[in-house]
Amino acid sequence: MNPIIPARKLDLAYAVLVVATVATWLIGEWWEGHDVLLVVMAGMLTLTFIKCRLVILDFMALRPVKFFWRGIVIGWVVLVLGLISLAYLISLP
Amino acid sequence: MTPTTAIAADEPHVAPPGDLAIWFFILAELLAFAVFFAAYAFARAKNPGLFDEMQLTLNRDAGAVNTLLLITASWCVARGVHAVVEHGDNALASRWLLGGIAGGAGFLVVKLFEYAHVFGAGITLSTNTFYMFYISLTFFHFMHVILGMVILTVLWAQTRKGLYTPTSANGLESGAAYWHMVDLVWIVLFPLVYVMR
Repeated sequence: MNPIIPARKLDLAYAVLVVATVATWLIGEWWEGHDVLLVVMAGMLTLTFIKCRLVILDFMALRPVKFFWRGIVIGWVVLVLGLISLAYLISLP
Repeated sequence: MTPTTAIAADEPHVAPPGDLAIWFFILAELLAFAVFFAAYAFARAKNPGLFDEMQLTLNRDAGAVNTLLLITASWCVARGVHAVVEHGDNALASRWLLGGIAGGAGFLVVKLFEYAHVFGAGITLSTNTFYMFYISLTFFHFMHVILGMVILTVLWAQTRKGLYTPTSANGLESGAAYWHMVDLVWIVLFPLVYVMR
């Protein structure tokens, strides 16, 4: 039997992804005229994590699959965003 | 439904959808992109001024539109898989997959316009560190989108022939998983390259 994500859940995930993408774009527009702000960076990374998680759990249909598989792919997101955060902190004056 | 089957239905699936081999391939691809992303982030940490200045020459609107195109394509593909796995409806799946292909094609067109602008301005891999990363990273991803488009086209042709059933959709699920990986990588790439300052 294949893992099935309900259509309503897929549509909801898509709606959240669109809103989060527009929010990320607005952050970029605002950030261009401002100095480094850790809270903005944290907000952007949080939005990115939420988007990745929705793609992994709902679009990739890993939500009903054993944690091992979800853990590996979500772990990839945590690792990548963690390294980006670390590099960003190093870059601060 | 007997109590035994009810319990079985609630239990988590042991394996992810599609062939196990595609997941090992996806994990290898994700690892390669992770190295690329980390290299970009730490190179930026050495010279944030250059990266912030060069980022202003990029078209953030195009990056955002491309994100919307890829997530729309991913949603279409997910709905296509759902049409087969839940309802066994190949005709509906083929229409959803066509939507996914259109989204991917839109992404490629927007990216080509971006590349035309960059290369038209005389920018190359050796212009500076930022553009070395921008061109190589986005082109690496661009090639993955092209491969994903080829896969989606094959899946579309298969659904047109009505080849998938709810119990035999491994090929469809494998191709869809690859496409979602391409989307997942761009979701990290967009804020990293176009937004972060």
